[in-house]
Amino acid sequence: MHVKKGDVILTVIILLTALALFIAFLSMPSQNITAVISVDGVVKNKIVLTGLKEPITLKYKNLGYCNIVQAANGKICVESADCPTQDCVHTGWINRAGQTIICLPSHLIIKLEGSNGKNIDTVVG
Amino acid sequence: MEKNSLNASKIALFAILTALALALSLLEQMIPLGMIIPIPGIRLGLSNIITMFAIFYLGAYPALLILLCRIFLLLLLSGNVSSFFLSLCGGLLALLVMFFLKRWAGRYFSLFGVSIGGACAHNIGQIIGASLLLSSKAAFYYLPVLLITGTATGILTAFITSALFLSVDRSRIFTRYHLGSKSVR
Repeated sequence: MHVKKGDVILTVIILLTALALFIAFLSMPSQNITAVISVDGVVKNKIVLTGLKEPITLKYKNLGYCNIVQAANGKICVESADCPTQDCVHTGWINRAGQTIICLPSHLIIKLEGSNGKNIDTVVG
Repeated sequence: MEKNSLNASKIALFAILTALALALSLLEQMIPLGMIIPIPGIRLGLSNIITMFAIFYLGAYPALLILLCRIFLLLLLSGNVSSFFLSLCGGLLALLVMFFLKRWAGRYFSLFGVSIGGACAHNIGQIIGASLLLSSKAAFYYLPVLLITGTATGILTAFITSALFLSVDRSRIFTRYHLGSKSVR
């Protein structure tokens, strides 16, 4: 089985697309991280994570599954869940804008959004 | 032997391939790939070997038949409706892309291109399926990672499939049992 020109071109196109998408995600506004938590496509909570003083624990129940979400200063994770795949728990903490935790069985989505920080008072020091 | 006639040997062959694809699907569920790369529905795509075999040796229609049987039987065995839906979206898109790539196989693409294209198409199909399930575009966040893992698993399955093709050709099982024409590769 000889590798042909089309194979190489296809692979390069796929990898370049992946790289371009990675760069697009990395160049998202990174200040003032907000977690948007939605269940079944409906936004349930919006939590400003940057500067969060005390950790918050939230519970989401849907479709017979329960996810326990923990939010802390600048980061958020699914602490535990009773879904069969546990992908949401294995994702661990996320802290950059654009990062997402999805629990497919319970239709839970945690998405981090950032802003440019223009309208936000920055505390220096 | 007519090309499209469904004789007993062909039915038996389809059944064996469906069983094999099902076994590979179950096998890869035991490989905890999600522990390393925590993405819902990530897998090695081993059953894609059977889909590719069916596309190259039997044609698009038998490949579709085997794919649908495998996905439906997997639903009966696992009872997981959301993963059934994801497999269906991924499997159909992968089959479509691999069939079109195979059409050009002789000229532009080898088995590697077909396999990589199929694996990535499977992952894209799963993301589309997940977006429909979640009624949100959030799953597209996983697209770059899934394109890279798709390329890697596509190369892996291409190696296995080319070994399979070699041994099938050597055994001459297709000419012996009138199982239709082997496609030009």
